[in-house]
Amino acid sequence: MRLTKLQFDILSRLRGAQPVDLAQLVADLGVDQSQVAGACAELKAAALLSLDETQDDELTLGEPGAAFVEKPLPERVIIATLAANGGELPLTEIPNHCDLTTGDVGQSLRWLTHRGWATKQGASLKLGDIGPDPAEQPDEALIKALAARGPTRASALRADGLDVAAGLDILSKRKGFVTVRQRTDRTAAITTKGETVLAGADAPKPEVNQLTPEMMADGGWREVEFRPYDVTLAAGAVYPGKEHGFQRTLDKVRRVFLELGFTEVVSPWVESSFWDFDALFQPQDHPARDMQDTFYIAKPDRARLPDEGLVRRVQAAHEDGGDTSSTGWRYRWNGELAHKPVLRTHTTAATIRALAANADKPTGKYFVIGPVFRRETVDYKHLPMFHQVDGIIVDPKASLSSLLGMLTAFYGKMGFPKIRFRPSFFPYTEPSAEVYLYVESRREWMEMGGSGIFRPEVTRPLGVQNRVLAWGLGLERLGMMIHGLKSIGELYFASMPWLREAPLIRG
Amino acid sequence: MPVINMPIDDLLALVNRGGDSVVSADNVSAKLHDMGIEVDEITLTTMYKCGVCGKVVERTEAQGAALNCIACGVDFREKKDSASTIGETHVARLDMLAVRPDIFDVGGMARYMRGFVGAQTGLIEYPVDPPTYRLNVDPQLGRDESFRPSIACAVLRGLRLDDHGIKFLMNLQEDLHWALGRDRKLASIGMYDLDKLGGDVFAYRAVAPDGIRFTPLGFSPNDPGSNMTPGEILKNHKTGEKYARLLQGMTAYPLLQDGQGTVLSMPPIINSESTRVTLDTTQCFVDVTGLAQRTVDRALNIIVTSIREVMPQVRIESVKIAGIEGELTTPNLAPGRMALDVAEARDTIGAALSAAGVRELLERMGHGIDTSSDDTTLQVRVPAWRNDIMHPIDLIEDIAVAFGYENLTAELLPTFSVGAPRQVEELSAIARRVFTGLGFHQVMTLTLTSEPAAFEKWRVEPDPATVRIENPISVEQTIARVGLLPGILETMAINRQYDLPQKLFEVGDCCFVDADAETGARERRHCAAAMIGTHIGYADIRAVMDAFAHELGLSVEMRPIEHASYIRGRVAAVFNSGRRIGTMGELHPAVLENYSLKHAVAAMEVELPVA
Repeated sequence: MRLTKLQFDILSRLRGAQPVDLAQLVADLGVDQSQVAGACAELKAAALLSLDETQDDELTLGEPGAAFVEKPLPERVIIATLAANGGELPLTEIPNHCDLTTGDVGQSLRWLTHRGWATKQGASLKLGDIGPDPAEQPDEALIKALAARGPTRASALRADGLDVAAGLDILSKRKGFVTVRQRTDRTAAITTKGETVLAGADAPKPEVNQLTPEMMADGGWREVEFRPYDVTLAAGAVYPGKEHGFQRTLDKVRRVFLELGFTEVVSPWVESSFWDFDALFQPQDHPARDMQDTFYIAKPDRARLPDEGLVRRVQAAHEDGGDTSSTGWRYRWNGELAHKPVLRTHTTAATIRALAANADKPTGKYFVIGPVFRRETVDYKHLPMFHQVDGIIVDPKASLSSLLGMLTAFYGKMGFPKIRFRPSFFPYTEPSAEVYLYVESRREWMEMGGSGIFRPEVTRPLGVQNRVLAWGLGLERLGMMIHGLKSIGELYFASMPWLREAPLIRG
Repeated sequence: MPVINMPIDDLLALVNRGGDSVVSADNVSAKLHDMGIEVDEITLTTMYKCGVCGKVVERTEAQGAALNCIACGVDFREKKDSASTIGETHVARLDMLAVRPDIFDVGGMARYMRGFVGAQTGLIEYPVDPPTYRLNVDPQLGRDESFRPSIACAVLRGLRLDDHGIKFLMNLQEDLHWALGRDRKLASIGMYDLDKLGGDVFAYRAVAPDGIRFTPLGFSPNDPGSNMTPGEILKNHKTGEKYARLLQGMTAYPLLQDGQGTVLSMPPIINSESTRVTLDTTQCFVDVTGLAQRTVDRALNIIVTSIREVMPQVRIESVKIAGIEGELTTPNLAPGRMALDVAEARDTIGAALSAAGVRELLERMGHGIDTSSDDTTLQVRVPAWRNDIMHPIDLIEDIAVAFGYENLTAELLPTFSVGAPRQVEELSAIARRVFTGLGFHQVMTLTLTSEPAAFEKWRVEPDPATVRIENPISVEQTIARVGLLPGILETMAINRQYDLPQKLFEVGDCCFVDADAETGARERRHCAAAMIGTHIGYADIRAVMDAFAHELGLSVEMRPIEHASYIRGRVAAVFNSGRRIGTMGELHPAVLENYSLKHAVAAMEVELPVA
C-alpha cells in the first residue's frame, strides 16, 4: 500500500510508542480531526494500525467550585476560626469571628464532621485533633487541578497523582462544583505490519487539494501529492443548454430526407384555399373545407390565384375531369372560394406548390416540415396546431412498389424497421396506402401516416406527366412516443425539469 | 375513418349461400384485412327491438340493456313493455374507407367478399322492371329559397320483412345518410309502404312552412297536436330540431306526396307516420333527395342492389321522373364504362401483371370485362353502385387491392438526386447551437395566440400586420403569433417553482400580413431569448446578443429607444447593417407582474437575417 502523507505521519507518530489517544494524535499532527479519523480508518482497514476504544470520565469544574480556587473552603475557614478562639465556639458565635454567614456555617457542618476536623457538642463546635491547618484534601486538589487544566479526563488526573475517587466523593455531593461526563476515547496503535510498511516507505510529499497556477509556474506541483477523492460520490447536478426534445425529432426527420436526396421546400402558413384544397382535387363541399374543421382567415381576406390557365385546368378537373380522363366531381366549381385564405391544413400544400413550380422537370424529390392548423378543441392529444412532414417523388418509374420501397427506407431510417401497408383513401392520391409501424416500446402496430400516388386530376392540371409518390405524417405523436409523454401540452408548455433533464440520446 | 358495425353471422350466411363455404367465422377477420378493412373487434351483442318504432338496437354485454330507442327516442325505462329482446348476434366493428359506402351494409359487403374470394366474380347485373309510377318535380326546388333539386326513386316488390330485415333497412339508410349524405345534407333517403300510398303520379314539390299538415314519424295520429305543419316540425319535433339547419334560410320546404296528396316525407327531415314500413310491408317506394343527381343516383343504386343481395326474391322496379333538368328513369343500374390501359396498370402498381392477370383481379373486385377487350386495353364495366370510380386510376387501385399490398415487392427508385436544405433552416440550426452553447434551453411554443397574450400583457398596441382568424375555436387562439417572447415568458410563468436562473430561447416563424405576398401574409424566422434570475440585468442579455451577432456574422448596432415592455433606459433597438431587426432589454416590472414573475428578466428578439 502506498501511504499518503497523513497516513505516513500517523504511523510515524505511533512508531515505538504506546497507544496514542486520537485527540492527542490530532493535536500532535496539527491536522483536521476528520482527516485524521479518515486516515486512521483507512490504515485500520489495511491492518497497519489498530484502534482501541476506552470509556473515561471527563471532569469539568462548575462555577460554585471555581469560587474556591483562590480562597479556602468554608470548613477550612471555620477550623482556623475555632483555633483562634480556643478550639471551641458556639455555632452562633462563629460568623462573628470570620466572614462566613450563618448559612455557610450550617452547610459546612456536614463536611467538618465528614473530614473529622470538628465535632458538634451541643450548641458548640469543637476543633478536632487535626489541628488548625490540615493538609490539602483530595477534593481541594481536584478543584485546583481542574481550574488549571479545564475539562480533564479522570485518567489524566489520576496519572498526575490525584485521588480522583476521593475528591469526587465530596465534590459530587456539593451542588454544581464539578460535572462528570462519560467520554469514549479512541487510541491508535501501530501494528507489526504497520511497522514493516512504514519502514519500507519513503516520506511522502505534502498533500494539496487544488492544483494552482503558482504550482504550475514554479514547478511546485512536483513537490506535492494531490489529495485523493472519493470518486464514487456524485457532485452537484449541472445541465447543458439543450435543443427542445421535439426539435431533435424534427431534425432527425429532416436529416433523413436530406440523406435520401430530397430538396427542402416551404409554403406560407396563410394559404389560399386553391393550394390547400382545390389543387389537391378536394371538392368544394368536402367536409375538410368546413368552417368546422379549418381556420379561415379574416385578415388578410383574399389570396391571389396562380395563372389563369392553371386555375382553369383545376376547375375543369373538378367539374368534369377536363383532359385528365376523369369524370370529375360533377359540380359547378366556384373560383371565389379558391381565393379564400386559410391557415394551411396540411403540408401537402407545400409539396403541391413545389410540384407546380417544377412541373417541367421529369424527376424531383421534395419535402417540407412545418406547422399545420386544424380547428381542434384542445385536449391531451390535440392542439389547434401541430407539425407535419410531407415528401413527394416525381419519377417516370414511380410505382406503388417504389412508394412502399421509399416508405420502408424512410421509416427504417427513422428507427422503425417493421412496416406494414394497408389500402387507404385520400382525396388526392390513388392508389393510397396507410403506413403501420411496429413500435417496440409499445409492442404494437401503430398507424403512422398516409401515402399514395397523386391522382391524375392533381398532377395533370399542373402540367406534370410523370407519376408522383406522396406521403406525410403528423410528427407530434412520434415526438410524444419518443419522449414518453402523455400529453401534447408537455411539448408546448414544457416544464424546466423536462427541458433540462430529457436526455439527448432519446432523440 | 368510418367505423361500421357489421352483423357477422348474417354476413357469413350471405357469403356462404347456396352451399358455398368460402369464408368461415375463423378466417373472416383475415379475409376482411386482405380486402383493406380492419376488424377492430367482434363482440356478441343482444338485439332489442323498440316496441314503438320497430327499430332494432344492438348492445354488447359491456354496454348493458338499451335504455332508449336511438331512432324514435322513446325511453324504455318509462315504458317497460316498449323494448323486447329478440336474440343475439355477433357484430364486428369495422374500420372502413369512406369512399366505399357500397360495402357498409351486409348485402354489399357479402357481394364484395364473394367476388374477392372468387366465389362469384365479374359484374353482377340486377334486372330492373319498367316503371309503373311517375314522379313530377316542382321546378321551385331548383331555386335558392327551396333548393334540393335532385331526386331518384325506385319501387321494390316482394319484400318479406322480419325484425332482422327491418333492422337491415334502417342501418342501410343510416350508414348512407352519414357516408354519402353527409348527415342528410347531400342525400337523404326515405322508404314507404307502397300499400299505404295511392295514385301513380307522385309529386316532389316545395311547400310553405305552414302550407300543409301531417303526422311525422314517431307520433301516433291519435295524439293531440301530432298533425303538424313543416314549420312546427322544425321547432317541436326532436328530429325536426336536429336537422332544421339543413333548411335554414329557405322559405319553402321540400315535400314528397303520393298521387292522392298523402305526405310521404319532408326531405331531408322526416318521414310521415302513416306511410311507415312495418313487418307487414311487402312492397315499398324508395326515394333519395339531395343536392346533386350523381349523389342521389349512387345512393339509390346502393340501396336497391344491397337489398337485392339480402333478399334475392325482391324485384326492382324503376320510376319515371320528370325532373328539373329533364326526364330520367331511376334507378339506372347500367354499368359505367371505362377503358383501362394494361401497361399503365402494370407500371403504376409496379408488379409484373399480364392482361389476363389484370382482368382476373378486376373481376374479383366486381367489375365486368367487355369482350371487345384486348391485351393492351381492357374495356371495363363498372358497377353502378360504386361511388368512387372516377378515373382508370381508381380501377388500378382496385387491381392493387385485389393483388394485395403485401404481395408487392418494395423497391427503391434508381434515380440519383442530391439533397438540398433550405438556407433559413441551416441558419436556424446554427442559431440554436449558439444559444445552447450559451447554456440556454430551447422551448417550442404555440404559433397561435391572442391579442391579450401578445400585446396587452406587453403594454403595447396590437401590431397592424397581425393575421386574424375568422373562425377561432377559443379566445386563446385568435391570431398568428408576431413574436416569440410571449411564449417564452408564458413558459417561465409555468416554471416559477424551479431553480433560477432560467435561460430559455426559441427559434421559429412568426406570421405577418404582407400585401406583396401571394396569399396576403408571410412568415419571418425569429430568434428570441430570455433569462430570469435574482441578478439578471441588461448587461446579461447584451452579452448574449453580442455573442449571437458575432457567431452569425451580423454587424449589429444598438440604439436607445422607448418601449413600454421594457424598463426606461434599459432597452435598445437592434440594427443590422442599418436595418432594424429587433429589440432587447430588461423587461418592465409591469410586464413581469402580468406573468406573476418575481425576478428580473432580460430578453432579446430579432429576426434572423437570411442572406
